[in-house]
Amino acid sequence: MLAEARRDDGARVPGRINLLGFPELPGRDELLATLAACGIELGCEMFPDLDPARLRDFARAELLVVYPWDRYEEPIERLLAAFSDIPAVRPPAPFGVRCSAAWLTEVASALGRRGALEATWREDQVDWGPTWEALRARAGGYRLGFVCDDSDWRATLRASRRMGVPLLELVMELGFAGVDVFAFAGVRRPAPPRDPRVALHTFTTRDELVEGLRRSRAVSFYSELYYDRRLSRLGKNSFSLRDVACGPRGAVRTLERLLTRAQLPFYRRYASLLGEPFTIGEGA
Amino acid sequence: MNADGGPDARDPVARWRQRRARQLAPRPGEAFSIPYRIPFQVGLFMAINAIADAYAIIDGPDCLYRKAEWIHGRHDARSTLLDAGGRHRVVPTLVNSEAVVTSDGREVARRVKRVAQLDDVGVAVICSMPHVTIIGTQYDRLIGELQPSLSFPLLEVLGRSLDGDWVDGYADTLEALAAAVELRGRAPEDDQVAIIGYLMDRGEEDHQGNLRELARMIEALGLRLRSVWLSGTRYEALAEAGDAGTLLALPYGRKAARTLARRTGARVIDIDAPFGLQATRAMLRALGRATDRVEAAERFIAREQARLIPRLEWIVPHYFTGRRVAFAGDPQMLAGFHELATELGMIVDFMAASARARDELPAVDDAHTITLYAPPESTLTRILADTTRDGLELLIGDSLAHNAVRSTKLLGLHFGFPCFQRHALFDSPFLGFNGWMWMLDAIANAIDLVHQRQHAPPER
Repeated sequence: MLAEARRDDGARVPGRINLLGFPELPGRDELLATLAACGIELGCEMFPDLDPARLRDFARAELLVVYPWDRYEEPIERLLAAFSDIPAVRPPAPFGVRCSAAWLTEVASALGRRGALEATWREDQVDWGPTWEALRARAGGYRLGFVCDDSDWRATLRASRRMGVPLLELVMELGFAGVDVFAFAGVRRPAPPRDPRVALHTFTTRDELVEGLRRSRAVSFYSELYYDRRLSRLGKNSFSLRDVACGPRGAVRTLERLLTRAQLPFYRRYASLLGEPFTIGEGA
Repeated sequence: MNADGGPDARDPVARWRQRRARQLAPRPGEAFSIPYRIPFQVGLFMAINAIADAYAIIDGPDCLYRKAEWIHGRHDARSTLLDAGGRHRVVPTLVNSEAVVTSDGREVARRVKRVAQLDDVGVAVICSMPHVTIIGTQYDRLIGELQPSLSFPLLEVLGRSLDGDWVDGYADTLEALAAAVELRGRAPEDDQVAIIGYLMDRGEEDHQGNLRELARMIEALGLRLRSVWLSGTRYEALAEAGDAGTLLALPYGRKAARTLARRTGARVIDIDAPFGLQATRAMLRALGRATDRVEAAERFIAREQARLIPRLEWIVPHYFTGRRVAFAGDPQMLAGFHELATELGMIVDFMAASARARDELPAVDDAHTITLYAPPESTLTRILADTTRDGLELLIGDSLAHNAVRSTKLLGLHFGFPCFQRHALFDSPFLGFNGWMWMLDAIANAIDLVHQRQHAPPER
């Protein structure tokens, strides 16, 4: 593959970037369109997908942009070493408005197009800005939550282990009132949170967790399970990475989806009609 | 709000809502296009269609048949409004704009006498088209002269085509019936209930299902549903409402119920259409309070919710929550639809009513949803195009609203009046508990089509 990538080692194309490890997440096309408006084009992408036809152009990029996700760390490092003559940047993953701006700025600055980016950003913001502000104001009425079966809850929620999405930081930027983290404290004592808006609750038994969830003011919890009765039957909603999109418009959509899930009254109203959250003996 | 009545500049929700309202408001060039508002006469015909032996004699041209065809042969596959043998229940005088200057009511009298030759007439209603209304024909005098020789009541419904819409046409006809129906020998009984103002827009199994569901719910409280205005019965059966000690007044039957109650002494309870869980519960609780059956109402509500709600546990997050929908149609359904949709996490992008706003209808309480009443059709077309571009996935509405859709990306669930594309051949209520579940079933299946389209391989 590397030999193929070296095959057309012609002149660099000004403004061309290669993406490394950046999955085709919702909102990515819009993010690239913002770069395109500044004269920055996508050359080749590697991991998780690969287009062999474009691989021969790999060496013609002016910049390599690395996405922060554990899964492809090793092959990407090898690739960077092999193409050490091409500058590389490692911006934070573009989730939320702040990180999207940081991602775009770092890429554009490295190519000397920061001014163009700032103009494009200002122009776009006129469109999505009011909705973003209105949704954030509404999000301020809700708390979200996480349940971690590991006492090292910070490691569990780290972006590199969540497809690059800094979930905790994202939720806070979206304007939610706060976060309740429930961490298992059976082996080690979990470390306290640094952000005062994050409340840490510990549990050692299923009953403690159930009681804590019932009492929690958080209305929606992170879960990647398709049918998570442990939440629905305790009157809690759930959200997942499927709700997350990148870029500023993606941030608006993420906020809209998380807010919709937070506001959903169905489980709060009718949990008592749905059955038991745990089957007998399960997780006791 | 700030001191000058505008939205607070510091309140981003108010600012967003103002911006959104501006986007949705009709633009100058759109204001003169055809309004998304169904005409007055169609509401009157709907009422005539829903009384099996009623006739409408309309002082106006033969284009009235076209209006009757909104219902007969298109919306209602069970309609008897028009007849292959010529015994139409809509009878125009054929007065055109030229002949109107010499019109003196004789053509109306001629049509009434012709109708009187039929052997199954329960009631006849006289109304007029606007170009005839303005010459001021005294239909009440005409009725006074003709009535003694008729075996059926002849009523007048004032033509309000210029300031009214289909809802007025239906409601005004009910009011005329309430004043005229023969009530001799009738006495209100405590355990008998009548529903006044039911919008029977067709005789198909959606409305038959609604009538069965309404009867089931009322009987669950130990009461008997004696009469529903209107429900496809013959005219003489409407008198059974005189036996009801309680009149449940739906929004379009509020005036008719009060007119009837003044004559019978029945109590009137105003209710919203039981569309969605909240309105259904509210109807049962109101009826329970009025008839001293509060516990029976609560028991029934609990039983029905326990029966139906577990079915939704996993449908809610994966089919409904976060789906962006719009609703267009009958204004009395807006609040119920909004509650039904938002309780399950759907985002209602906007709603449009095919009639004017009315005081008797509940307001929709939501900072997100803007409601338009009888907007120009070109405005509706523009909004549908814009919101589809912004992510609107499903339009639930009548055929007029679907005609305004220009994008193939937007999927539709045909619902309401008129509904030319979908007919109800099997029990499919949309009111009450069973109606709530039918509606959610229909929406889930429509959303499944959205899923299929989103995940379909690209066209080659």
